[in-house]
Amino acid sequence: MSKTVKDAIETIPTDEINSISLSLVRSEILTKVIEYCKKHNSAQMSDVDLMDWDVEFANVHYTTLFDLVLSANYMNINCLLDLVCGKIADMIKGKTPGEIAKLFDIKDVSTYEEDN
Amino acid sequence: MNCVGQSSELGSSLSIVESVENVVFGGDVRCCIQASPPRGNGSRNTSPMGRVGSRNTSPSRQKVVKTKPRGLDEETHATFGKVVHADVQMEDNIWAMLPEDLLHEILARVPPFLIFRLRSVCKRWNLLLQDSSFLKFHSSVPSHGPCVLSFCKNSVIPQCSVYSLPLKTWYRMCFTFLPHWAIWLIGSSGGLVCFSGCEGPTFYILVCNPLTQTWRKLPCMHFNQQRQLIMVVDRSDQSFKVIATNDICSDKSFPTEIYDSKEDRWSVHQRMPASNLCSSKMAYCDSRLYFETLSPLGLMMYRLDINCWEHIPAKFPRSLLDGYLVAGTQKRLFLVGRIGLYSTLQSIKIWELDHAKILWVEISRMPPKYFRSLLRLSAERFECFGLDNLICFTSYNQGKGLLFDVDKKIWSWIGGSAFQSYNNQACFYEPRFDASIY
Repeated sequence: MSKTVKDAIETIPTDEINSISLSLVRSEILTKVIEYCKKHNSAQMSDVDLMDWDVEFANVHYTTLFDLVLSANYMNINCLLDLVCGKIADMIKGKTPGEIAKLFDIKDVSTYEEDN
Repeated sequence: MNCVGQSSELGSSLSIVESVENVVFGGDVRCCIQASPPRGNGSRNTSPMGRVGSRNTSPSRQKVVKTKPRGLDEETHATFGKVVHADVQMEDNIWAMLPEDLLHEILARVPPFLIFRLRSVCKRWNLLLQDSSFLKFHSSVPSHGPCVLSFCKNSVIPQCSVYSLPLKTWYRMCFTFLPHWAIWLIGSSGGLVCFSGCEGPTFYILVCNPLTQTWRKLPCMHFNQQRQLIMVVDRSDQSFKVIATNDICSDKSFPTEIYDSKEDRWSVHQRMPASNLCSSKMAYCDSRLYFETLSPLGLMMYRLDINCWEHIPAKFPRSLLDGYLVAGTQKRLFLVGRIGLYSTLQSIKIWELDHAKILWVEISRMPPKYFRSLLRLSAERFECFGLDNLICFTSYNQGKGLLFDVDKKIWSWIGGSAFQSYNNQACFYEPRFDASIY
């Protein structure tokens, strides 16, 4: 599921691998990522149930969401990235432009150059 | 540095977690194999080592993190170059530390109708949200559609609303950019919407992209009358075709004409045989145009590859009324119609064409409670159209829309009442920024 891990495994002969460093991923977040991958790899749940599970999974504090999006990107797990980015897009949807600017810490609009 | 721990694939054990715990908080400790983040893909630079753009700063500007460790090592912090003060401030502004390409991923998932609002966040976002490669990326995210477009032109101002199925919300869409003569909604395909109308004595056809508010009048047909039309977009080569068959106002028959956007001209083809009292029900799938003839009730097919009409001798269900042809995915063709008008057992049924046996096979029937709710009086009219394997029923008298998912066999109502007016026209629509009118 993680292309990063897959590539790492594929580039080095198996008998030389002891472990793979995922140095940018904190252990608590990695636990969550593993939980996601396990759930999606098991054939136990129906599509609808899995979608509900995904919604619950993504219903976390925004600091966790932030870590998840970075980790999903770093570990190259497309479906998780899709889920978390979608959740963040949802959060943005309900905000006014002013609130979004504050959220993304965009302080000074005049810093950016005029177009044409 | 020796690595301790077993190698294992993700998802089978927690050994990777253990080994990460051993190294992540050790500062500059690196393990045997550095897993690299290779999501390089065209214009998106995703390596944390080398993010380009305004957020990239040199390692010399890195600051030490005083808050609780967030697992982002020194390289990542250097990339963002932010000074971290108190805990609270950092928590509030973590989104500011988001790399450019992840911001694109997130913005690409914002529904198209809300993108306009985001342009006023700041100039940089304004530029980004009009950049053609970002819009192309946005259009490739599959979760934005389909939508149901409801168009009504009562007086001068067109009223148009779009219901987004994924979001279950109605949005107002501004169609005032269109010329006043465009009053008939022909249909929509691949993000383009086709209208027709008469400017003075001349009949015209136009295509538009409602999201970019661009439109273009097509050249006139060789036999330029108000004719039955259908538009189909080919996304693989960014082109579209418009097919014109019979005259709507009379039962005069004209040669079939096809407009190809790649050549920007109409070509003339075979006249449809059996052209008496044709219905206006057409459906296009798999490079074939299917046409339902009323008298006699039958099915004609136009093959675009060899440019000729064929009769399909499929027997239509007995006492079928108001039959609609609806195209599904790939080669699937559905027939939707009412059975038994004057009987208490009246219902709406759906058949699918078995291409091999040339036979209509009944696949579903509208449950009585939906039928009674959609059509309060048994003789009321309904309209029907489809996209992929979704079929939508609208009843203007009741102002309701009903959806049927052929694959999942689920019936559901469309909330809200944008189908009120009697001269409302509706179709499925997939909002795409990158649908080109040329």
